[in-house]
Amino acid sequence: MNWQTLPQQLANGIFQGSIYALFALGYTLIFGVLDILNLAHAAIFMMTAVAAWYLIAGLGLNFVVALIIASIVGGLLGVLLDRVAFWRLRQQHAPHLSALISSIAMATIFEGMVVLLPTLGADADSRIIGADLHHFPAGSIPSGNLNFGTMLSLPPIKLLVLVVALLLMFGLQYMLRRTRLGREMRAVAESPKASALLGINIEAVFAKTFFIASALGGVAGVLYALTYNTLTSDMGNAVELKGLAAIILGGMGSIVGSVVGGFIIGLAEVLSIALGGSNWSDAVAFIVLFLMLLVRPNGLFGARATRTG
Amino acid sequence: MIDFYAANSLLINLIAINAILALSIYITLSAAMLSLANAAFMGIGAYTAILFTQYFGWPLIPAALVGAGMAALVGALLGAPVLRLRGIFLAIATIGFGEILRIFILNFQPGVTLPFEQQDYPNGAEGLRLPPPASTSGWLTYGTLLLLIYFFWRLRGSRMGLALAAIREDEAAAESSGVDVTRYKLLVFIIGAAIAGWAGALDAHLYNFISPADFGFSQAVNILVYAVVGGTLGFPGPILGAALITALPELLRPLHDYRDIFTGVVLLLTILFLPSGLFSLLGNALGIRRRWQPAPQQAAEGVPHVLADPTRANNDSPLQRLALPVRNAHPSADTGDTDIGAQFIAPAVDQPGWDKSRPYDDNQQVKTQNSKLKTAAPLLHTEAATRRFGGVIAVDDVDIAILPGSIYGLIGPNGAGKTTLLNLLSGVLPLTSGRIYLRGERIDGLAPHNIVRRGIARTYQNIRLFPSLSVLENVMVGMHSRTRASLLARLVFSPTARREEQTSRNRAFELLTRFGLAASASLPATALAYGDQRRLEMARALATDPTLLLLDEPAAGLNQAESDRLRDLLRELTATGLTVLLIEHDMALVMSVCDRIAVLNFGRTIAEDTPSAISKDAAVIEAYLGSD
Repeated sequence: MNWQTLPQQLANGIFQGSIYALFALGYTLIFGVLDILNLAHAAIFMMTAVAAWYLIAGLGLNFVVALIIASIVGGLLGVLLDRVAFWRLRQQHAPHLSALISSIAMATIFEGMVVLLPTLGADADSRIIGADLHHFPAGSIPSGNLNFGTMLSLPPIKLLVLVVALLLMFGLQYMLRRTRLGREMRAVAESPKASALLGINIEAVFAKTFFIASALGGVAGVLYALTYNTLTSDMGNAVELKGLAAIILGGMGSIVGSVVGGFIIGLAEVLSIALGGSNWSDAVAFIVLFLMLLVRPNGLFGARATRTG
Repeated sequence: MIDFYAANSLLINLIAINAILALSIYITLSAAMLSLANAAFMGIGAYTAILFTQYFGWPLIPAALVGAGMAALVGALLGAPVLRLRGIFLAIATIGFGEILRIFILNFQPGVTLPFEQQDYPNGAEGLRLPPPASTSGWLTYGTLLLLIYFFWRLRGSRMGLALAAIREDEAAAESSGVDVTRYKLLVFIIGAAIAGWAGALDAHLYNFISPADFGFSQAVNILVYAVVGGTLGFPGPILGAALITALPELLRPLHDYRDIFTGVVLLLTILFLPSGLFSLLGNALGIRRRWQPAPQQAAEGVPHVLADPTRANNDSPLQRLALPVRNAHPSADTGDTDIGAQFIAPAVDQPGWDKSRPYDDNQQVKTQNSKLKTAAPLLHTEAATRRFGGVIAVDDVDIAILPGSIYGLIGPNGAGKTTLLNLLSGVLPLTSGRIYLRGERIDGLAPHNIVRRGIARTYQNIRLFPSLSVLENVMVGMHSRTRASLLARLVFSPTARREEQTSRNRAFELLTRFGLAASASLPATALAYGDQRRLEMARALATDPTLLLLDEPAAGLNQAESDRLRDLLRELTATGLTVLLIEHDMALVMSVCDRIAVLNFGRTIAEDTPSAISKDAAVIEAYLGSD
């Protein structure tokens, strides 16, 4: 391994990790509050990125404005997801696995719909988005590199990724600890029944949870697409499984755990490439996930007992 | 007909393969395990079989057998650690395994070159091209599907099938009814892996091309979709689901362009509005009964056999030894119920050595029995049994000794550790330290089903039945550890297996009759009233043919009349040699039936004596009433 590139590799790992962490935050929030493993989270990640792409490539909006609007779209998609896929299952007290299957169904539908959306601008040689790769218009994302000494050189968009990710992580933690909504969410996470008896409108808490979680996942999607300047209908798949590894590593339902888990997965991946195992780097996350499940299914920070069923 | 097949043979083949895959996940789902590893097992089967047919030149069938065997082997290695995980954690672990395997196939370079087109094996993301398929491989697929249908048809209602259903309904209750849950889960996981591996081998040789992408997460989801959409309450469901999801987009052109959306919408609608799957709809329309419900004529045949001709019952049946007299169904005075009312067994007047008119409290028989017991070695005893939960010591250095044929009471305030002690005795919880002996042999550290096998049965404080199994099947699950007919014997219609099935069915009816539940035999357990559910749970425990019965608050929620009948029942059971450990808050009951009583408070034994001594014990009075 070349020690000269180490700072650069670490920085790359941290950026990669911050996207995983942001994605994993929403994942773990929904699991923590509603006890649902939402496999449609990656579809929302992707759809929000597509929304940002329309806003930037179609309406010519500034990418920061597009990021904000798209994240709201992502949040609303999350609320829609909850209403369509999970609300009825809650009413029926269906087993947990039903919600998992229902989220898989919604992910399939979302992905099937996105490829049929009309395409834009330079990519307009085909009528629909399809399975092709799409890019943001030239000049819509800041280009060039910021140099820090000779060993570290970063595109500004990656710095933005890190700043936004950290702000959102601390913001979420503050919200959960210090606000009324945060207290309600924690109460519902402990016991929806007791919360309802104490006068908390649990359906409203569920909807807000889905909005926040999906907006976070959506922001991760937009940042991911901006960083790599690529957009495909299956861009969520890789992140979905990495995010899963992150929340298992950190402990399902643990906010801090998901962030730490995301960074560990990101760093492990980049470092395994640096150590020469580029072909196997994708496997690192799953080997970590697998071992963690066998050794300590509650994860590094999992305070809650492993749920059954 | 032949023309139709020729034109559609590829689609029909694909349907059959997908149906086989659907069955491979169905068998794991039938034990309530959601495994998404079957696509990976399919890949293992495919790549292994290709190595053998293309490199070693083997014919397809032995090569596919090696492929299925390889998948089963990996399944065993994966299953042993992973099956401890439950619910979504198992699903996640199997997703992770699938990804690791896909990446492995992508990067594995053993330096093998296949003769056909000189391809590297397994050739990474580019995949492998294969020679045109042999014309027979299609028929091999249909043959496999038929064999599997036969297998699942025989599995249903078999000893193993019933055990799987019990595991699906309530794992802990299945284990404490004598079912080796871990073994069955692993077995089922391996069978599923082998079926998927076999299907992968056939699939690979049906097409000219395979690649790792064919065995990824999306394929895992497809397999799940077939099973869930078709329905997992019976094996026809997954086959129906595979046929529908595979064929519709091919046959209806407009659907073809929206294939993913179609699949997603069908899955969503199914899980939201028809959780039992499409087959349940068809089943209802055709009047087919639910999977685990016995057909009405079976029930009708069974009852008269037992009731009309008791000599038909097996003479050395363990239940005969209990010699419980059958109570004639007569209306119970206090409730006005007729036959299926809440009636615990009452003694028949004509039983030798038993005079119903005599009050229980000065029953000489019990007294003499007691004096004999004092000299006997204990059936069960503990040495310094201790259990901690973090900083809390729930059971603290407890020594108890239960004499054979006695009723041993365990009382104490709420939270004193009574149920924890019972969980330790039944193996549900491991001891932190200390020892437990049954007939002088250590039993601590044994799995609950092994403890059941050695003769300790239990009930739960908050009744744990198998809700959607019938009343009869609930009892039959209890006989699991006393029967042995293998699925293999059933597959070949062995007469021994059939006799055993008939015997256990009869014995189950006998027990139900004695508990006044025979008329409800074919109802689902949840349809019973509360008191009946308690009695059904006791009947299930007795079906394991125990020497020691652990009862956790059996009188909770019973009215006075029911509680009186329970007292009679307990006396009768011990009169036939059964030993009982009774946790109970009903002091009148405890004081009247128990030979000895231990009082727990904060995990410690504060007194252990005869009922009359206990009722005068200062420490006990203080624990119950507080001191001030």
